[in-house]
Amino acid sequence: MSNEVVIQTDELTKVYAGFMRPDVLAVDRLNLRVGRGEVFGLLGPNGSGKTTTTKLLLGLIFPTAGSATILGRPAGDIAAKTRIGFLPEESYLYRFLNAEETLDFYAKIFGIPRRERRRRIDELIELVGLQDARKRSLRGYSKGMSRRIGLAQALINNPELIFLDEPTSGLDPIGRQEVKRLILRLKDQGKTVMLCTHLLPDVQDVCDRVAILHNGRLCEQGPLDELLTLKNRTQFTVADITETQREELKAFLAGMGLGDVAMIHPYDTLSALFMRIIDAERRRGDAARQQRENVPQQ
Amino acid sequence: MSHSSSPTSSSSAASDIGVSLRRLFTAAGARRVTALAGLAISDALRSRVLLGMTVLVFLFGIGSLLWPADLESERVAFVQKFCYTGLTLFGLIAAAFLGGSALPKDISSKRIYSLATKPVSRLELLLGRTLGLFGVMFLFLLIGGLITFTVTHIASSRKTYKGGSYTAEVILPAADIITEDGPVPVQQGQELPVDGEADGGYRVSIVGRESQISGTIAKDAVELHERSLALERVVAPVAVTWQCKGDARFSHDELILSCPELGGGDKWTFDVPTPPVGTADNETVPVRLRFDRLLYEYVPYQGKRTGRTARVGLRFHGPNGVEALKDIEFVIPERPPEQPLGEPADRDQYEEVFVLPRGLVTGGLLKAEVLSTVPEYAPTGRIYYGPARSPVWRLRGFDAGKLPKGNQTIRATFLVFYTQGLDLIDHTEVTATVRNPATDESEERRVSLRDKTPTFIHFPRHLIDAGQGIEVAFGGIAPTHRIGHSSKESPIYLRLRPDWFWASTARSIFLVFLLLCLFTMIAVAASTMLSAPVAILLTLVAALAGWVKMMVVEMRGADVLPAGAATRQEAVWNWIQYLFGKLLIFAAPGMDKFSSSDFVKRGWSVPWPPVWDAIAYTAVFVLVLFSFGFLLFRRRELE
Repeated sequence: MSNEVVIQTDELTKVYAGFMRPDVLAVDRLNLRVGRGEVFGLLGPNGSGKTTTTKLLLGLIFPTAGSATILGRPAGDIAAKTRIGFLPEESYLYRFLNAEETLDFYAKIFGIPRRERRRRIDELIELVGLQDARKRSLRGYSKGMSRRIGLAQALINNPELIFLDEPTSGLDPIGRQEVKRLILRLKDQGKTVMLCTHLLPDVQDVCDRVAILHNGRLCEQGPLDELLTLKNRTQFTVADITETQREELKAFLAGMGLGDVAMIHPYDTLSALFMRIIDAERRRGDAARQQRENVPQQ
Repeated sequence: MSHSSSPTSSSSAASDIGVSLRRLFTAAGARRVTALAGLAISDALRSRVLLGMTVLVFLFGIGSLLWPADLESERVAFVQKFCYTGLTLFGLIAAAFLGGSALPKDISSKRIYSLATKPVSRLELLLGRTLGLFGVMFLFLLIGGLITFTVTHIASSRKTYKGGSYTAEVILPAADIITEDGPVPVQQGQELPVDGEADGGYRVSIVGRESQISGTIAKDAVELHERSLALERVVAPVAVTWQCKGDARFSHDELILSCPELGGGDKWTFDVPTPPVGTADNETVPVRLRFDRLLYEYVPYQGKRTGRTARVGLRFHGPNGVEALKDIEFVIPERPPEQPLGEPADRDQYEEVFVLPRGLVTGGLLKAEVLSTVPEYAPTGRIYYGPARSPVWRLRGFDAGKLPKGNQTIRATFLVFYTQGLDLIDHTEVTATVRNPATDESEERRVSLRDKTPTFIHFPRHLIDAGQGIEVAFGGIAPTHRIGHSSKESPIYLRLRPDWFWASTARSIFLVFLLLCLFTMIAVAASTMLSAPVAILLTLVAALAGWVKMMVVEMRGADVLPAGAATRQEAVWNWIQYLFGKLLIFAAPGMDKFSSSDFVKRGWSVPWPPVWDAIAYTAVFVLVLFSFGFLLFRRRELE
């Protein structure tokens, strides 16, 4: 990760002027720095200003005060947008187009040459797993499929900076896992990802740094490891320990003068358990198929 | 905390717009706009609004065929008008709904997020959407035009003549026939012969008292039904020119060119004597051009009947191919109150002094050509000049037994097929004199002519009861204006050549396209800041205002008290029209300045120049509306 800053906001403020009702302060003097190659999580409860911040950065709305730059250009700059990808909170696309037509349209907007366009569309459709539905109009897509095609359109220009607003919403655990893998792959490719979500497990799995917003105000910002580490506590995990050994270990630690010792069986995440089971099932299915194919025909 | 709007100075705004424009005028910009326009077309084609409107146009076209017309030409004119009305009406609804909802729909459905975050400027977004909708209107009119063509074709192939016992003839006033023995005066009612068939047409040569007509009428220019009458060929507007001969003489150093009248002909010839030795400075020759009469008439133009300036160009041709141009400009005084409309007004002598190149005046033939029809020499304010030389249409030989009994009013329908030279943006008021040659009784009516629109003239039964036919003369039609006609009872009429007919239909549909583009632009511009329902409503109100304006134009006759009517019902109807017109003008006094729909009417009545006017008019308005819409949309927050 380089020290180059790709997103910077200085005292960025947005007030929605109310008509016959009070003004709403959506973002309050926000100062953010996102470095190149980072996966940055913008967290907060509903109404905390995450989406407003994203819209300000993308030039969809205009700041009331303060400023923002993206890739060294002012927010909303058209030249900068050629290097940006955006997945909105919902996949707001033209439902009468199919997956191929959708990606083709957005690729044309980026001026991608025809041959390159074809190659890129095939690649992205495979990446998001929509090969079987590539000719189906988006009207017939499930929510998960819509998210996938939305993700594909966000990546059509092979962007340096990708804004993902709730990328895993509507996806099943497998889909969520795939998206998280994709985010990590994008990170490996040196791309910067800005993730807006309130699904904290997703953030924990992929983000390097996070910022937490509440009522439009930045409450906390920093590397995830730093924020989550309980520096005054230490955790050991040991495999296959007996009850006697546990008691002996507890007595030993007490003998060292250490208090507040907790010995628990650590929990796996439900997501990891689910994926483990599904992967095992898949492996079993593959093996059975392999076996059937190896049996000579009578 | 500052609650001010975004900190954008006017210079940075100008810079933003400049960047957007620069990006637009690149190959990549064109590709982006094309992609956006294509998307807008796909979007609109899936809209039920467009489908619904197309179905309605189809039903309108089919319905128009049910109109019980007695005469084929009337049916065709009616069907065409009906279809144009359908195309315009439903097209306007489609323009309002599609144009007014496209952008708000993108914003409310948040599809704009995935567009506006791509490298597309707001200018390109708006332009792509607008051009796409123009494309949709084009497709709508392509289908609607096909329906119009088909329905009109069906209508024109259904020939149902009624009262087919009439014949018609045209008598040119003040004309002599050239025979082998020389010119022979024309008697009233006499048929004019033609010289026989020439290659590809009929040659016609008629010498008037002051002028001469000569030319060739293409054979396929007219389609004659039943008996061929030479006189019908004479009124065909093809390659017939007026030629006048003037007098030329030198007085001291000055060449004096005398012409009987300006307005009596299109081409003048002068037999110039050899210039005296030492004339002028060997470079130029002073010329005094005299017209004994300057003929003009008060034909209403967009309701104005006040004095105007007429500008006429003259092109002089010398014997050695030398040419010179000369403008003549004269003021036509305000119409005296007693001067009837559409009739020749004061006839003043007119004189103009100028110089011509010496090379033009070397002795021998000097030709002068009136260039009033050349666009750059179009008379300012479209003044009409020329005498009221109206042909007389004689309808004779009818079967009186077929007429209704009693002393009721008979309604004759004159269908004006073409009006070359007449600018019928507005209606043109002329005087129609209906005369019974047997009893020499006549009555005069003021009528409004509009191209391809049936003109009804009411006259009392006793005028036609004698069974010898009637004569109808239109006053206020100059020789530069040519009209064709038909009467309801006569099966003999001129029909436009099919290719002219189709060209005219295509032109009209194109003008409807321009109108729809204009209203689409109004809807799109309104939708850049307003919600879809408000933008649609605003567009429909603008369309309604245009329609009211048309009504005001129609009712402009309300300025003049209704003329005498033959029957009480007619008088009542005239007064209703008069009062309604007054009411409209009172309710919307500025409406006559608003002319967004006028050019559609122009297109239905006059040749090509109005199309260019309409294109320019539409382009200017679209550009202004687009700029306005863009300035609003540029800083709109896409929430």
